[in-house]
Amino acid sequence: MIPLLDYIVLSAILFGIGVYGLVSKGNALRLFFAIEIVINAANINLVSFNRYISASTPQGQTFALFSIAIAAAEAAVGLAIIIVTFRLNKEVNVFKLRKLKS
Amino acid sequence: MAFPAFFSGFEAVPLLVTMIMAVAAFVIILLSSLGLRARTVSTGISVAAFVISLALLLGKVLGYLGPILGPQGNSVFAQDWISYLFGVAILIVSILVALSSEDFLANIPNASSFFALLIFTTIGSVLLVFSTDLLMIFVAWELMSIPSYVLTGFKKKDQESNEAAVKYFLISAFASAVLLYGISLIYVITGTTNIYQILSPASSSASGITPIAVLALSFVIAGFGIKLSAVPFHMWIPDAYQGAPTVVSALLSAGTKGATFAPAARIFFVLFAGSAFQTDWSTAFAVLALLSMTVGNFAALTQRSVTRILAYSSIGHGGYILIGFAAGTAYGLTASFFHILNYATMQTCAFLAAALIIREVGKDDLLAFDGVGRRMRIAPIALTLSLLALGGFPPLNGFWSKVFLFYSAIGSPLNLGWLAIAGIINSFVSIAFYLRIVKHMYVDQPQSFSKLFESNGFRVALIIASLIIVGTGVYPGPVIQFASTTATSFFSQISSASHVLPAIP
Amino acid sequence: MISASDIAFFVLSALTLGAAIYSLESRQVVYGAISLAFSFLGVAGLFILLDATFVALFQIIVYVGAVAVLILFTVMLVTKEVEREARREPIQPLGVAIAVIVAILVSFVASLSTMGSLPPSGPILGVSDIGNLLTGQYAFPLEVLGLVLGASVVGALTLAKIDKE
Repeated sequence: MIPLLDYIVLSAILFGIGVYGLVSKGNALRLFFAIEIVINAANINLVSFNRYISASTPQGQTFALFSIAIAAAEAAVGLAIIIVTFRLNKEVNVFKLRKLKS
Repeated sequence: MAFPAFFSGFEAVPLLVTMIMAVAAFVIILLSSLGLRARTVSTGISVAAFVISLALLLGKVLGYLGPILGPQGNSVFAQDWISYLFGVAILIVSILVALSSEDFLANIPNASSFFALLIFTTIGSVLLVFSTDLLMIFVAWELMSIPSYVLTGFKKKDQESNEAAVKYFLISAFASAVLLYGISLIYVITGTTNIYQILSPASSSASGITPIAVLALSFVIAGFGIKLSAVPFHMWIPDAYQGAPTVVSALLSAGTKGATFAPAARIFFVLFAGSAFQTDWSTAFAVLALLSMTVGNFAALTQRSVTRILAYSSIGHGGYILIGFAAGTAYGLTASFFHILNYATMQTCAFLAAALIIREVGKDDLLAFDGVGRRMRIAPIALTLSLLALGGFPPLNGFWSKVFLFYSAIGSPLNLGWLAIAGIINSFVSIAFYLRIVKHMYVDQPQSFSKLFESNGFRVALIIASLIIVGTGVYPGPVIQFASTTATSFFSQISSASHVLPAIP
Repeated sequence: MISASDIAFFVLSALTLGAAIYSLESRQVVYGAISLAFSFLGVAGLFILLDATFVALFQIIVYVGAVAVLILFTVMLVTKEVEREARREPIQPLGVAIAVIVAILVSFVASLSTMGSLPPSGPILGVSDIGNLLTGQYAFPLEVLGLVLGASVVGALTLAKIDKE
């Protein structure tokens, strides 16, 4: 049987990939992908801990359901904002949006 | 009596408040399809919903609707003092924002959606401060955040507003994702999602969990830190406040930011007060406080845009509030809670007054504010009052809470005297840029002397906010009492329980 | 001895991680979006391995079915013609370093605790257990989730629709 540590390491690597995307990408869509990757890493944690450690109630699984649903809601709003950005600027790279300056 | 008995029921108040506001939001959306004076009707309905909710909360606080109990059992909500204190602050902010939005939205389409989203984000904030379950905290957090992204980008044709929305969305969604990752690790350690059950000993069968607990809470701090715009997590936050419609900046900087302090207090004090890590985490908060104050106030000195100055001032005040958290005592929390109540009205008043002036003069540049004092009646006075209060002039409310905060740092068992000195220096620095705005409004010569229009909605909001600022400053007793009751009851809840993490030997 | 579940775990992990990396590094955003959907699918497979069948189905329906399609539509709406020939963004060493540090830190800290070697415990929890929890302890969060979805629909429509002048 696969030990829990493998799942934690997998989720940690996925989290690292998400953080990498957030640090180094400029395209708003790629940044959005990175956020989704981090959410998925957290969901792997929640479900695997539920199976291995706290198995009497499915709190972790339920939490994962909530976070999937909320990620969908967030995606709807976020993608709408990105579409408006493209309509205004013909550009979705956040480093090229420079109207606001100190 | 049956009526008060219902209100002392455990989940009645958050349930009722949610229902009232949710019904109001959906009525506004339905009425918008009729199209009859949608803006005025929506304002009326949303202000009414907020006022009724505020009355319910104040009824509990003043004891007319049964006593306030502590957290109980498995419930996702706690009806304790801390939730009522923050709930009152949030609803005051929302009422002021709703009153001024009526006029502010005059040339912006989709006014009814604006009010519906304002109500949704208020529901989220209020539920966030009532939540004691990590799942409930997460859901309420998202209900607070998702509408606020849309409100930030509400001027769809305006590139600045849209840029602010993209940046605010990305940074804030990242904050939620990191917070979720931290919460998932807390769930690992404890096997439960209820904050107060985490206190019960040995909820996990594994040993050697201390390092992972520290890591989990670092992620949670980063998630909260972005929402609280604490330095070094403040990237893009000034952009968001500058580009957003200015009434929305008031909501973001006072309402949603204030609401975030409640779960932060719950999570960190429940897990750390009295544990072996208290000194380390107090130091972490002290460093965040110092960085936020210093960066916020010194960056504000160099800005030319009034909204950006207010944005950095908001970052600086986040730092002041964290001083009380770092002190780690009931006195420190009293000071923090008192300052959050004051900050909510001061910052909202400043942003709303600035919103009105900027809308009338057309620019948010300091030079555009020249001589506004002679061209308008109420907005410059309200802006001056709120700026003086933010700078900490006696006898306004900001003075008292700052004195409390600095005194709590000196009195803390953790030797935070240096933090108090840094705070006092920062206060003096901040006076420079607050007075600079006042000078532009009253001393400098205006380009034209034509009178500028002030609508009744803005006037009412600004007068209410100014009265609260002056009233609390002249007679702070009851508000201090409220904050102090909250802090002491919160401390008695957590001190009686044992801890997951090892206690101080 | 390598069992079938071990092989499944490694295949699914490789799919999840590889697709996640490719979604960020692909030459065109469209391929990235499709790759992200495969990454979600890999996570759903892991959920089945963890005996969380309902969560896996939910992941496929909502993430792969709805979110990924929404992302694809957005990508097609916002991608410029010129991006066809666009070069890949250069890989930033700083980003890679931070990612590696974070991943190693979390893994190392987790390996310090004894929980990593615990065997799976308790019965397999099915949809009825989740239902009990959703109608009991988590009934109120579920209702608030409805408000979140309602607010996001109102918000997304407000932003995306084109106003009459």
